[in-house]
Parts: sequence; structure tokens; C-alpha cells
Amino acid sequence: MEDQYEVFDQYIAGELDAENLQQFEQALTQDEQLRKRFDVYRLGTRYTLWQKSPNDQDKAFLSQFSQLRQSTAAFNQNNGTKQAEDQLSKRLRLLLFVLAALVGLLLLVWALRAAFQPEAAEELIIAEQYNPLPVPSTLSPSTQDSMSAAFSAYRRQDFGKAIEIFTNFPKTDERFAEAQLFAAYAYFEQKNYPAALEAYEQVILTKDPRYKSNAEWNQLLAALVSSSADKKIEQYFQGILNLPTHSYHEATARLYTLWKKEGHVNFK
Amino acid sequence: MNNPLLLHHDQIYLDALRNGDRSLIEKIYTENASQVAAFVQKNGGSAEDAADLFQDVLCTLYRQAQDGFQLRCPFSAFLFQVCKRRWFNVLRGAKNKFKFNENLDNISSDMAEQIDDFEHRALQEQLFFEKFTELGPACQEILTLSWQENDQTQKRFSLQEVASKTGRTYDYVRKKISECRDRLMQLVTTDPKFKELT
Repeated sequence: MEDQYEVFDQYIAGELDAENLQQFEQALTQDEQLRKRFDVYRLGTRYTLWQKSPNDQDKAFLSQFSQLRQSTAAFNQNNGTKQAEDQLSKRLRLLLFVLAALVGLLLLVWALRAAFQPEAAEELIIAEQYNPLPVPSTLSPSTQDSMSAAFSAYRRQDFGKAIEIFTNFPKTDERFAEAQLFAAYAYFEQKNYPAALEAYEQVILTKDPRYKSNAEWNQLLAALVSSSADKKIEQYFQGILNLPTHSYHEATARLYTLWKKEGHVNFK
Repeated sequence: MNNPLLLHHDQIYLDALRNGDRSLIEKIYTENASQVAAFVQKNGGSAEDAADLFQDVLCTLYRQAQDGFQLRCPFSAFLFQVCKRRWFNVLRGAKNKFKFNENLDNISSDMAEQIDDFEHRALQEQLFFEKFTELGPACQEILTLSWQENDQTQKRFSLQEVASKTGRTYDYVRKKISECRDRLMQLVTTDPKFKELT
């Protein structure tokens, strides 16, 4: 047995004659190293053929395994799981889309609310704080004078007529301030804010303590409603805020905070 | 190992694999696939990984059954333990492929010994093939042909047939086979893994 590995091949192929077969098998039982090499060689050559050149039986076996693999449910659950995952993923995506849409809608509502709320708040302030005197203090119930005629027109909401009479009072008339105040109210009702501002200014200039505070407050409101220049509005605010004893000081402070927060007051 | 008194009656499954007994092979799938699939999927793998693993182990069983491997323990338990061990080796990385795991389950020492033996054989064939692929293409071709059987004669190809198929002379083939075989076994036996596995 000169070529040991040739003998290995011959043994595996069943080509050894009886004498050499017996001799080789005896050697395998006696020589552990030979047996180890032979074990690896035998297994290795078989595996190499399986890998490189499978015989018909190997091919039939692999084909059968391939079919069984395809038809075995346990090995195809991934597909089912994947489909389930895909479906779950689709549902999650849909849910996320709906949530995103809801969030978007909420944001839109919030934005619209933010756009409209100041107006509502400001209107509320106007409604709450617009404070024309109810009746001219100089009104004489018993006499039919100009003040009575003007106030009568004002009450009838005939603001044009009321303005015509109120503005006819000369500066020298002791009722001038009050007449200007009611003229300003009438202008305000007509939404003629520049004229209202001017009329309030006339009242303030008289420094008549009976009407000055009311005129200053309503002048501020008129300025806000008419979206006057910020500088002018700031001036009106400060005119009141600098006087802690002003009867509209607290209301002005609240309004000032809002005005500062919003950046402007956009009364319609 | 070849003592018939120690043979487990589940040897019928190895015989079925060796002989291509379709109904019993189907039974192997039916009775064992779900357990292996569940284990692999529970341990970071997919159903496809499980199928690959299961088929790989059955292929080894098929080859070793042809080589005379005989079962001394229940087939299903053996199959599952081998799959489990191989999957843990996959998880540990290819570097540790030639190292054996500890006894992961409370299995009998006899079964553990048989699993070790089975896996040793699997690793021996892999070591041999690994070295075979390090040979040149000419060596690989000639050796493969020299080990193959002729379909008609059911005998391995003669040197003359190998020479004819490769377009070489008889003398060249005879010399080349001897050289390639020696080179291959030198590579195998000098690899440190050879000592570990034998």
C-alpha cells in the first residue's frame, strides 16, 4: 500500500481485493491516526461530491426536500406574519394619517381662532367698556333748548341731526365740553372715528373734570377701533396709565396688556 | 455505535432519509418543522432561517445515514437538539463554527455524546471541503471526477475515463490525482481544526 490515499479511494469504491481489504481494515483498527485520516477523507469526499457533483439520488432527495419545504406551513409563516405586519403597518399608517389630519385640523382651528379671537375679545371690550354718558348732565328736562333737541336726535339715533346741533355749541358756552362729548358719541356711532377722535380731543382740551376721563377713555377706544397709528394709541394709553387715579386706569391697563400682546388691536 | 442492541427504533427515520421514503420524510417535516421554526423565530431568526437550518441538518443526516450513522436516541429530540446547537452557533458567528457548545439542555449524556459525534462528522466533512476549495481548478476537477461514479457501471470513473473527460493523458491524470490528493490531505491534516475534530 504505497499510496495511502489511493487505498482510501479503492476501499470507498469497493475495489480492494479480499487480501488488501482485510489488511486495510486491520490497519484501521490498529492505527488510530490512519483511521482518523480515513474518516475525514471518507466523509470529505462524499461531501465534496454532494457539493460539486450530486448524484441522481442526491438530486432526488434535494428535490423532495425542496417541495416539502415549500409546503410546510411552519416555514411559510413568515409570509403570513409579513402580510400581517404589512396590514398592521398599513393600518398604522392610516391611523397616523388620520391623527396627522386631526392635528392639522386642530392647528387650523387654533390658527383661525387666534385670528378671530382678538377681534371677539376686543369687541367684547368695546361692548363692555364703551361707556358713553347716558344723559347730558346739563340737560334740562323742563326746557326745550338745543341740548335737549340734540339729545333727542341722539336718542332717536338720528346721529347726523344730533351732531349738527351738538357741534353748534360755541366754545364759550359752558355746555361746550358736554356737547362735544355727545357729538363724539354720535360720530362714534356713525363710525366716523376721526371726527370722534377730534371731538373727544376738544373735550379733553377743556380739562373739564366732569367729562375729561370719559373722553380720554372713549378716545382711546375710538383710536383702537379705527386702527390709528400705534404711536398715537400709545400716547392715549400712556395718558391714562400715567394717572393711577384715573377712573379708567384699571380697564386701560387690561386693554394695554392685550394690545401689547397682540401687537395691535384690529377693531372692525 | 453499530451495536444493534443499542439501536433506537427511530432509526427508521434515518433509513427513510437514506432510502428516500417519501411518507416517512413527510412525517419528519410534519412532526418537527413547527418546533424548529418556533425555536428559531423565538431566537432572532425568520421562518426562512428555520427552513434553511432544518434542511441543512436533514441533509447532514441523509449523508451520514448513507455513511452508516445509527441512532441510539429518539429522532425528534436528536433533530431538535442538533438544530438548536447549530442555530446558537449561527448566532455566535461563523468564527466559532468549529467549537462545540456546552450541553444547552438537560439531555442524556448518551444523546449529548451522539450529537457531538454527529456534529464532529459534519465539521470534518466541512473542513475537508474547505481545503478542497483551496486547490487549483485543475485539481478540483480531476479529483471530483476520480471520486464520481459512472452512472452506467455504478463504479467510479477509471483513470482512463477521467483522462478522456478532461482531455489529458492517462499518465498526467494518474500523477496529478496523486499530487492533488496528497496536497489536499496535507492541507487537511495540518489545519489546527483537524486535531480538534479527530
